[in-house]
Amino acid sequence: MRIKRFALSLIFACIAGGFAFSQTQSPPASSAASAPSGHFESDDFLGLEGPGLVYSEVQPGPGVLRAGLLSDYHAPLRGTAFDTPVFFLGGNDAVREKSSRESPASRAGPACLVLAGSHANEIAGVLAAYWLIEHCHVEGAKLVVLPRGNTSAATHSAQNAQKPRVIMLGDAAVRYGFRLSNPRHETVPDPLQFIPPRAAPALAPLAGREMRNLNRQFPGSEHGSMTAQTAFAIMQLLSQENITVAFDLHEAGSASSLAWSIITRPEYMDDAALAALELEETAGTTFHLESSREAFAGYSHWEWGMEGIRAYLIETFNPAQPNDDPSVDQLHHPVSPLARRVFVHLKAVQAILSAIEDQGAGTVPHMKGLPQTIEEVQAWLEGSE
Amino acid sequence: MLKKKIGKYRKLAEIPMKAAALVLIAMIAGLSSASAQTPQAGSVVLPEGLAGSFPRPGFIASAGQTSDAAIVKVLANTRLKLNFGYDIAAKPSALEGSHTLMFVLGASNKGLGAAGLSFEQEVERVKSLITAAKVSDMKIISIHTGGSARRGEASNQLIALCVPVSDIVIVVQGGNDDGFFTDLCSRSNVALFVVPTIAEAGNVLGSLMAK
Repeated sequence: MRIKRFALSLIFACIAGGFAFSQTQSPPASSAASAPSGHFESDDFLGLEGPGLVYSEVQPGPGVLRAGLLSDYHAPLRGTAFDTPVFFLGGNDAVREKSSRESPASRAGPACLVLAGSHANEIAGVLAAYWLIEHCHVEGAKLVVLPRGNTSAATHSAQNAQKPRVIMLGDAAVRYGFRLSNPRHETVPDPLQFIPPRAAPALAPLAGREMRNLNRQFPGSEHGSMTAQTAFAIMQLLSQENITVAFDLHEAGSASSLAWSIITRPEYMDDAALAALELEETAGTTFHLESSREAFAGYSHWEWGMEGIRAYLIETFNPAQPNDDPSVDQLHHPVSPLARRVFVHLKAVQAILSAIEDQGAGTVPHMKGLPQTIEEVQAWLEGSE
Repeated sequence: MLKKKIGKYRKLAEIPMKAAALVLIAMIAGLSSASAQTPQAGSVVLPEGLAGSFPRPGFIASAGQTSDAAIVKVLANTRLKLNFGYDIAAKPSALEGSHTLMFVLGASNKGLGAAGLSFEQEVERVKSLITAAKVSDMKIISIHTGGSARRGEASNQLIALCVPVSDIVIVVQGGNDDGFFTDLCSRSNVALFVVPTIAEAGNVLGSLMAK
């Protein structure tokens, strides 16, 4: 497992996350070797925010061709706790960009996005994204990975509003955050009620704190709250990178009917249904399907779909939810261990992409380096890979 | 190994006679995946009288607006190429020209909301489909793939409505852990298949449908 060890360089994390990274620079995997090594104190580690937080957890593998920041798509995020790295695998942008008559989006060619960490307590999605970044090579369409969509949410937890909670995976540390942005990073206080930007008048308002829920804020706002601006930046990324297929990786608890489900708009339900059959056969997991609709205003699967993107929200079962119970052993849970959830997330992404391709519905990335077994993921998580 | 495989199916003694024969055959086929009987699809082989006895074209509708219907649709049409018609909220007029009606069982509040239907309206819609199917002498298959998540009170009401008028019922195991389908089919003398996976339900379906 190359998820960065707890004892790896704070300096590296700070350099990588020091906002000096641009889209044209190499990913930090190559610079990691030359970064001074040494321990950093736990408080230092816990204090990291923004890109530095993410780079303290993941080390991009050779399949990452370049990396950028979400603030590349919305500059006001730069230097804030909401900025976050974006990783690019595969694609042939360099060739396409020679055609100057095309718009930037069409020059880019079709691409696929994997977003995780919108809710920072739903860690299987984050780790699935880390697997892609560390292990995978991509051919065909480009794959864009945004492993922590809401980095602010990773800086606090249900148990501690001041500090993140960390779970140890072998000797690596990964933050188990919260589902909402950290209020100390927001520029505006929670309203009494929150209404998603494009919600129909008939929809009931949400609790005010949901303003800090990234997955209620799409399509976001250029000048809104920081969470709304993060959603806006992701929408800009979708457009500028010509994303045609997008995944939003989540988890749900036993109290939710959403655990082990795929949610998408009715027009893409066949992709999800074919994937569900595939997942039953290859991952031994039975998925339910939910149809996205207008009532899901503000959610990724509905709002991204409004832009013509085949959008799928995937939910695995996190046994610690809904209260993020810290006594739950994520690694060795008898019903839904973390390795199984990470494995299923990756299998689900692959199965949906295969379904899209099999139906001739689009060009998709072909990922090499996905895990073949849950045990492979378990070994990676335990640091014995 | 043998015990494990048998364990995937309900105990034979709990299942009515007609269903027992089917389950037995499915079980044997599942164990050996080899049989001289035809027709067959996947590992399931049906008795001569039942195999291929459900006329085409067929039509898939939901009873309860569950999205499981979408999975059954791709199972039937994309995988098995059975070319069923499909409308999750079908009305009786949609059944014209079809000879087999397949209900996908399971109530979903979200699905009902998306279809703009109250539960009471959904019950009436399902009743109207049953009436239309019986008037047209259509065969009826009921299938439940949603496990325990699709076994709430509303689902049970719809199941109780559809199962007694069905010619055959196919249930993925988790949905029958409490024996609800077994009891209902027994009382209604309806053949029941309890299968371990949705894919296996597809094998049963493929064997049932006329070529």
